[in-house]
Amino acid sequence: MSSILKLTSVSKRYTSSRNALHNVSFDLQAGKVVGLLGSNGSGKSTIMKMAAGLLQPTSGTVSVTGIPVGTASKAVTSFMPDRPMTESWMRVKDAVLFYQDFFSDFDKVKATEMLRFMNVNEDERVGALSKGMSERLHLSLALSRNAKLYLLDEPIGGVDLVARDKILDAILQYYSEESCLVVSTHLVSDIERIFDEVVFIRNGSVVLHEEVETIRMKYGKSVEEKFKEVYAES
Amino acid sequence: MNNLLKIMKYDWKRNNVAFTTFTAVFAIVQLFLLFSHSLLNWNANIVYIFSSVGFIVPVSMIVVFMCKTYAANLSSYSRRLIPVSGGWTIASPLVLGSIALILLPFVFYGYSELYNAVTGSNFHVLNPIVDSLSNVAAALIIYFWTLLFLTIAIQFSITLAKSVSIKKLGPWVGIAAFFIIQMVVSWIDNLLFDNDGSFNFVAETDSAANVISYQVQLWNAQLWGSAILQAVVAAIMFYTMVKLLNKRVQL
Repeated sequence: MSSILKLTSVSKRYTSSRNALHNVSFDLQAGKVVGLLGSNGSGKSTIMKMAAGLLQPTSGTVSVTGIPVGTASKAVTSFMPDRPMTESWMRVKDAVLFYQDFFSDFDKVKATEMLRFMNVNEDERVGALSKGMSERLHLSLALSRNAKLYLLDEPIGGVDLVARDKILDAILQYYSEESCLVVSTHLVSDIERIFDEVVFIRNGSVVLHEEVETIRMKYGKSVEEKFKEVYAES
Repeated sequence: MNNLLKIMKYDWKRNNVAFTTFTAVFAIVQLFLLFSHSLLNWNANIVYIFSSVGFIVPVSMIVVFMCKTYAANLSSYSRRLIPVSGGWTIASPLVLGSIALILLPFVFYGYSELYNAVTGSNFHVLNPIVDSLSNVAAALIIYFWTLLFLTIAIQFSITLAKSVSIKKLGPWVGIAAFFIIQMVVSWIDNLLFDNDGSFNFVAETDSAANVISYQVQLWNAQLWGSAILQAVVAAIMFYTMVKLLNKRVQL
């Protein structure tokens, strides 16, 4: 299996008093759905933004498919951020065209199919979409790329239970096996079923990086139970 | 280049409603002033001065548009996540704004000719500069370059402000950088070219010392020396902005 996302001794300091990440290292492989788990403010979004090329580490290196994060790595990284990737003047179909214009790996047929699956109307104004529908749109756009690395930052954070299931089904149905999909969330129980491995982040440090199967075999616990155990200690 | 055209397309789409609205309002006001002499009997000379000064508004709006679009792009996920070098992000609003800046003097010239035709006046847009075609070209280049340099300096200050890790300090660093750049460029300009900004105006007088015309020599070493100095500074700022955008500016 090839390495897709590699962080080596990454630290991030926003101000002198706040250390967002401290000496974080891990290597994520192709063909895996990885859960980046942690409570609010643990450093999940910082890692996602670094991998996407929006933030620079204070020290250490971040690479995607062996390429240091930058303009070139953005071509193989599909990021669904916690804020809209679209612009308020756009209709859904304009957002699709935007992706088609800038990402050579974007599959318009797949996008149309996914939007239909998600019940998102292509003539709808992006600004008029509810939070749930907006997340469905952004997930459809992100997964419609044939990228090497998918980064989904809290993809089910603001949606109802029905929409959650629909989104998780879409992730499993449309994600490509040759790539690595990283999902950051603190809603472990709702999303646990899709993970192959998990990385637990606490106060900017990795406290656990295991295969889900190993957690079940070694500790005899589900991911949620292990998560509660680890975070109860803090 | 293809990437530049794509970014320009989306910069235009984002701004076209505001731009079209402003253009429509401006055109209505200017049309009103154009016919105010014949309809309301307003003084043609004063109205011409007002309508000419009014063209400063779209010029200012274009500069604001370029800077605002750039600042918005720096903070926009949609622009920061695309696999396109920072250079195109900087260039896109500059090119779009430049097209408008280049067109505007011709619109002004057309408006003046129309004004003369409607009111029976005899105003000449660039008199006395218009006496020489080469001076017209020089005036247009100086007008265009001055505004472009100002915009690049503002863009540079915005980039610097967004590169500062302590967010509250950013705007102050940007403002300070803008004034320092202007002062340093002006100081070097005076040092190297002794440019007093007079445009070499020479008044031609009659025997009674009445001014009968002005001659302007815009193609002079001081002005072009200053422009070259500014071009060098602009190139350094552009290069630094690309580096900062690719490596330092964070969301």
